[in-house]
Amino acid sequence: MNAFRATLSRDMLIARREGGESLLAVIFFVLGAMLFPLGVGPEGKLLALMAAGVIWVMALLATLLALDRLFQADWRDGTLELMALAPDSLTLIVAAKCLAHWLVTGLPMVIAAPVMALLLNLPPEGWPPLLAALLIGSPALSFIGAICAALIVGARRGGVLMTLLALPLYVPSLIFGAGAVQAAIGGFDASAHLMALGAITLAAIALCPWAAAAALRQAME
Amino acid sequence: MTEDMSPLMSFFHMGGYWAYIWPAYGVVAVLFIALLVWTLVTLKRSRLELEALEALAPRRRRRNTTSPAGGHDDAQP
Amino acid sequence: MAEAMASPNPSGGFFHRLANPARFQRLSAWLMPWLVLIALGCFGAGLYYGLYASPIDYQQKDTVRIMYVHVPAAWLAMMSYSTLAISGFVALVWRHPLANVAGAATAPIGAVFTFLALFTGAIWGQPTWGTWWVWDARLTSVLILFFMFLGYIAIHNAFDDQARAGRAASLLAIVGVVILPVIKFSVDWWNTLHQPASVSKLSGSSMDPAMLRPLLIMAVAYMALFGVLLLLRMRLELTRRRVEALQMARAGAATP
Repeated sequence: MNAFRATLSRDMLIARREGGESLLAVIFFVLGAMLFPLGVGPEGKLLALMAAGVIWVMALLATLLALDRLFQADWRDGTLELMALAPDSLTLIVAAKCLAHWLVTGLPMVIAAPVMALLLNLPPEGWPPLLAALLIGSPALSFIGAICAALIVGARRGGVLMTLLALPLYVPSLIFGAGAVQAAIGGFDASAHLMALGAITLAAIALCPWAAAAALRQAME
Repeated sequence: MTEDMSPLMSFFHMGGYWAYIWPAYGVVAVLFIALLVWTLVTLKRSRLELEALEALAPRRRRRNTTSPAGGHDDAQP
Repeated sequence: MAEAMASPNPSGGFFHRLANPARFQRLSAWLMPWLVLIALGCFGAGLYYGLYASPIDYQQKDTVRIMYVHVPAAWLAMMSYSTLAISGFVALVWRHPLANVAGAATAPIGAVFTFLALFTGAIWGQPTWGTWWVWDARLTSVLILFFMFLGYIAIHNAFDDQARAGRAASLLAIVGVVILPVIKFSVDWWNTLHQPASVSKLSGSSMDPAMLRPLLIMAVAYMALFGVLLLLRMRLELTRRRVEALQMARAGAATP
């Protein structure tokens, strides 16, 4: 547990020291969503139809953008090898890094979500399920993305490749996350969507650190 | 007009859907053949390259007995 | 980090003996003519039955014939990805040297089958539903699968070190195959939520046995073709690796 806490506080400290850099993902999140009205026109009804999907897609992309930071820096300065050689479980260390990543990237997105909902004319019935879905679903994005980040660590043009790998894996979270909001807007019950989303997140939290650690070890053989 | 068609023509006509059916089958055939040809051509080229390289090092033992494809996994001195 | 060479596979001599590339070459040489024969025969019979000696669908008329090239392609796309996942698993767990070779060989084949499934699916969609692309559950899942093949090929090419490339790709295939059912399930659900109920299944209203015959024959033909392509590409991979090993040895000997 010590390794977990130590890694967590280390990563959070690094993020705080980076300052604005760690918030870049959230800025991208909001900025990207702003582009849609500019692209499709400001008509309220059209935006309302698209809002849930647009917000979720931007969340996926913003998470991917920030995933670069997860392992690359540590790989370059050799910290990753030290972590792998340490007696503590690499899985726990990776889990801590994923949690730190979510706290720095995913959680701010949840906080920014009301702004997005406003800009995209999301109907009021959609706001609570949007916040709930993002809160429940965004950890899955960080954890699943960690596997892809670990797979390509040290590769050339790794960033774009990681995007190609991660996006198919994000599809279930996207479908249930946006689906929850759409369901609520349509007057249906969103709880089934949210539960499916929660199941995906729980499975991701349980399994992804182990898979990502395996990928890191393969990278360092 | 379809009544005047010979049996062969009506076969190709495919009930009016010839523009869909034949391109579909055509693309399948083309891609299969292309993949086969590309594989065979590259295989031939690789084999020639291999022969050329093996001819340059006549004293090497035939690679049958050494470790197979995963050779890179060995720590090379 | 020096790793011990793979200990003999306890589950038996067959695969272990196969690990010797010369043995593999002999086995594949023996297998090849049979596969070619089956492929040619089944394609011939399949085309005969599919294009000529089978009934037209009540609603779709002749366009149902596209099913005979579309559905087997989708099946083979799944089969190819399963092969990727199995070879990845064998590569990582048992370190069988041919496993990575099989994976690298299968990926482009799978990508082609997947593309064909999409392309023929689109062509089938136009006369059936009046639109070139439709977001039905199967096509959407196959589209995602296509990108998973591309991802596999991309990650394999992203590393100069062949061993690292193989390991990364193997892991990716395993992760992919675990998430694939979840993706399929979520896409199915998404589809039932958004599609009107009147959309008919792509496979036709009911499977007349006269339609099942060309479908199954073509499926066998596709599988035989897959076998032929796989063996050829595995030979290609093995040859490529030997070339690379020799080139590296020469480069190593050349340095003072």
